[in-house]
Amino acid sequence: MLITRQIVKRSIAHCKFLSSIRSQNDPRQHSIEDRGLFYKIPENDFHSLFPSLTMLPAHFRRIPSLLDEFSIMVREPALEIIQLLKLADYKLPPIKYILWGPKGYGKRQSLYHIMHYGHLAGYFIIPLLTARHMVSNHDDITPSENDDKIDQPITSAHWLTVFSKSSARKFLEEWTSSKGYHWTERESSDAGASLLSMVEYGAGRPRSASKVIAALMSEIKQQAGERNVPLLICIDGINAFHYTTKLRYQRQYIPVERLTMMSAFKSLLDCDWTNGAVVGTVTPLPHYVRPTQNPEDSFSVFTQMGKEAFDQLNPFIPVFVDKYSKEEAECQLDYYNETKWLTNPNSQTPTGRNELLFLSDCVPRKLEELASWR
Amino acid sequence: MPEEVRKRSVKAAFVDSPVSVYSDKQVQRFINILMDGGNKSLVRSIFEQALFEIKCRQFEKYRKAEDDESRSKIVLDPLAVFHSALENGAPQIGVYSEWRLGTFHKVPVPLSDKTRYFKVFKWLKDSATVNPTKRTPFSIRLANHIIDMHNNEGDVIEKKIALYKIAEQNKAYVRLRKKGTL
Repeated sequence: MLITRQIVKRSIAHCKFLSSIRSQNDPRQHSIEDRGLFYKIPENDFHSLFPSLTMLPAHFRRIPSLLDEFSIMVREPALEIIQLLKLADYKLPPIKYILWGPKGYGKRQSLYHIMHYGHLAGYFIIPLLTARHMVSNHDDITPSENDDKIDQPITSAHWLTVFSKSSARKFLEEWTSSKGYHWTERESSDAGASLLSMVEYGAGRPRSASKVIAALMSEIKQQAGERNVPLLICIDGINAFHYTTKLRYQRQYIPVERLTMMSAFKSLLDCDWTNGAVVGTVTPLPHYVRPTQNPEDSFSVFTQMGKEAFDQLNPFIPVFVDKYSKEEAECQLDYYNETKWLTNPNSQTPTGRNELLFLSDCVPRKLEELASWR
Repeated sequence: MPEEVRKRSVKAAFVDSPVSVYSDKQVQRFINILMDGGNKSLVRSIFEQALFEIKCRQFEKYRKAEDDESRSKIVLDPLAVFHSALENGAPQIGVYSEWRLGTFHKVPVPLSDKTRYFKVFKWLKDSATVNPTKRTPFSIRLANHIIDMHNNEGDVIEKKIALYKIAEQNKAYVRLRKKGTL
């Protein structure tokens, strides 16, 4: 049972003696004082942000059903980007905010925090949370009918179904397409049709789904500057767009430009539209790039992203995501205790807690792994 | 180091030394038995994943439970589930072979702790190695069997009951037991 109390000044050093490790549930009002505290994403918001659990990585998927909630720790990188989003000038081309840092330090959690803020602040969110997995299905490759390009029917159709159920639905209903599109010989959509009808058509017809995505992205880019609603593009794995993929067609590796779906998403990263922002996380050292020889280099943004991604995305704002500070790690352990996730009786003792902090070195992912069976 | 210690040889500490507060002798023994080719780090990670799987299942059960009574009966700690599973699966009585009058006779005998736990570990390992669909990872198979044992059902409990039956059938040969065996 939580005993809540009004506290006037909250210092992060007193985290252990806080009466509550919970912050208020509105990310629009989070400030630097809420650092280290947990806030819960309400269920309705969770279902509209993540209509399909496959958008989350495997080790996050089970958490909502086990702990009956999906809570995120408020941390500096997310607060910084939220502040910048509030202050940005949306009449200029979109600014790219890129969360970078070593593996398991909390980039995705910060991204979800920013997505929730965007949802409540009324942004039109385009979620690309599985960018790396979009280029991993080898069975999904079909040559496109009219172009030289290559479609990905199953992945495109799945993404469109998820998009139609996400928080962007209300905007898709209002926005209409500026011109008509001819999908196949007999199927077409007229000018003035709502974008939602296009999305639902694509979700039902995998054959044309990739073309629908290409048309959709070009429509959204064109119209973003004229509307009041700013766009927020959330990408998990932004450097997936800047490498030759591992997919093969006719014995050759396919570059991203040749895939209809991926090149459509990549066009959102260009600077030829206004009224939007791009927030992305870097997947450090993707599997198709060898790690560098020099260990000092491996922690710079340049090496984390790779040369191609860095050159093509430049200029962007890099935001470093660090591991937990001592106080944040203590708050994380308090959270686990509160939700009864740490079941071993030794975890309640100071020796047990110190052992967890020592073994994990306050790295969030490692702490989660250690706490998974203790 | 003081001089007396330096003069004697000092053994290196075991990798499994109980420095950690979370170390458990039974767990270490089971990990050694599961290990193949000396690859202890792999087996440890498999076992830890199995414990995580057990914890997830017990939490799911806890969430679905309807009243406080059934909730209090669910054990959430995976190591506690593991220990209760071992207690349920370890046979108290076993059988050993005694050569008398031209044949081997199976003589029922109470088992020592060492043998009891070895039998459970071996049965658990053998039943988890069976993979009919070839799609379930080893850690999840282990978790399934441990949860079954905790609930007093499953392959390992059947093996225990089969052993008890053999001991019951050969009850008459108890008199052949040599003093001090097992």
